[in-house]
Amino acid sequence: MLGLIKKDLLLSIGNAKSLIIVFILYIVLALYGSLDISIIPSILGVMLVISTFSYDYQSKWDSYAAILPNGRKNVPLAKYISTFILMFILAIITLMLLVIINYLKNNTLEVTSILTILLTSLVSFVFEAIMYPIIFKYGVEKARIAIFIITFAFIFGIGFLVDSPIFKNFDTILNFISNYYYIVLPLIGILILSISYIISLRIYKKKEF
Amino acid sequence: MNNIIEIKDLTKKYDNFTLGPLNIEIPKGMIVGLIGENGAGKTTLIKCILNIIKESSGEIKINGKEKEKDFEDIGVVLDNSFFPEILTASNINNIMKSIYKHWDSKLYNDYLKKFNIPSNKPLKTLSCGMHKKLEIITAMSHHPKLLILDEPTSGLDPVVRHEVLDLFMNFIQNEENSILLSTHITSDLEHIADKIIFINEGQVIFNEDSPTLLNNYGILKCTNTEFNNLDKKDILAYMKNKYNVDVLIKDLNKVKKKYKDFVIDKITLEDLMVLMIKGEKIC
Repeated sequence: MLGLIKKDLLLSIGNAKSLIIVFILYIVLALYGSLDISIIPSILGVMLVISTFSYDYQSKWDSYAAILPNGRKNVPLAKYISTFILMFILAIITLMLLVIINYLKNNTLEVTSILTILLTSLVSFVFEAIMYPIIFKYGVEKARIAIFIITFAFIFGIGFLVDSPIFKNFDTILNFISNYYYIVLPLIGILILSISYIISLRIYKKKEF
Repeated sequence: MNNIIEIKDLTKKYDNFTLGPLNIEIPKGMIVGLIGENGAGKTTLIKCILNIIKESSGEIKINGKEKEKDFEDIGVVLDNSFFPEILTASNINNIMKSIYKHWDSKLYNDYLKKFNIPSNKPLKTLSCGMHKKLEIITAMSHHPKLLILDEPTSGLDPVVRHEVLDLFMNFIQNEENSILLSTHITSDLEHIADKIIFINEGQVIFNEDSPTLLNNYGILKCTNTEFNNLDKKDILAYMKNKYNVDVLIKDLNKVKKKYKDFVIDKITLEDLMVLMIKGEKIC
């Protein structure tokens, strides 16, 4: 298990090197512009974890993983755990950057920034929770169409949610959650990922490579 | 328990291809070669043994146990399936030591040095031969008792192939370890295999000890007219060339006595395979 988690994290780190310019660009924009970098961990995280599936696909890793001790059983769980760890690390890095940027700008760190990190991380967890079983079932190449549809549905859905009369004022939800966000949001994230994991495991155990 | 792998009535059905039913036993301490043309079912058989695909029916036991329980003791090279290409050989060491209980980092690093494989370069920058060598040493660095290798020597130059075959020979020296390997390079098997299993269109054509096989079969060369005078019972398969006919015969010594004036060559696995598959048969 640990080995498989290491493998996914090493893949993400290897891939993150190529995204470092994007990351620097974000920081520059945050320093000299008005970009809020608290949404970055979720976007970057999703990009990095989906790309680990692409690398796996290119080298037909799944067949190889199946011949490792407990490979078939552990591959899905390792994917979920490494996703969680990666998102966590990205969130911490972003938080540290926020502190530094605010210090340089002589601003105080606002609670809403932390909240945004947690909320957007949750959104990406939901996205990943939907995507992973589809990827495990159909492979990352075929699942690409699903990625587009779900991304679109997400943007449209959130936009719809924000504009709808029930959630006329998005701040009220934020305020409501903000009292308990540090517990509620991660818990929701873990719950959704757990359900998704159970489905993925069932798919993966029966799969032929 | 003298067999490392026991396969009973194995079948795997696809829409346009059926493997088996196969009954195969692979004894401990042997190198068993799996030969057959592309699409004959070699990889399907290996994937069934390794639980990468599920058999339609039948039973496979590895070391007396249900398969998938004993993967700790198996080393594998698959055709075109390995670690993602942006990882390095040293990453693989790091990952594998957390996967196999008996992973031997020192042995792995010694192999890397022996075969001149750079440890910090991404796999995608390695040459085809280097890549294959890395796959082989990765399969051997956790002290497995059984190696299952699908095309392990393809893409290797003759010198390195020789080194790798030596590695395999050393591996079975303790008489407990075993190797099942499939290959297109049949001459490799003539050097090292104790037993040959020949698969064609999903069926085992023969499953015999390598020396018996190579000493028992032969190629009789004759003209068209001579061919017509041969006893049809002696002809297993034949191939008509421009000037002569190659005839596959069994019981080499007996046939040699019977046809004293003919040239009868010893067979190579390649000739045997080609004649069995492409040759015409009388009955």
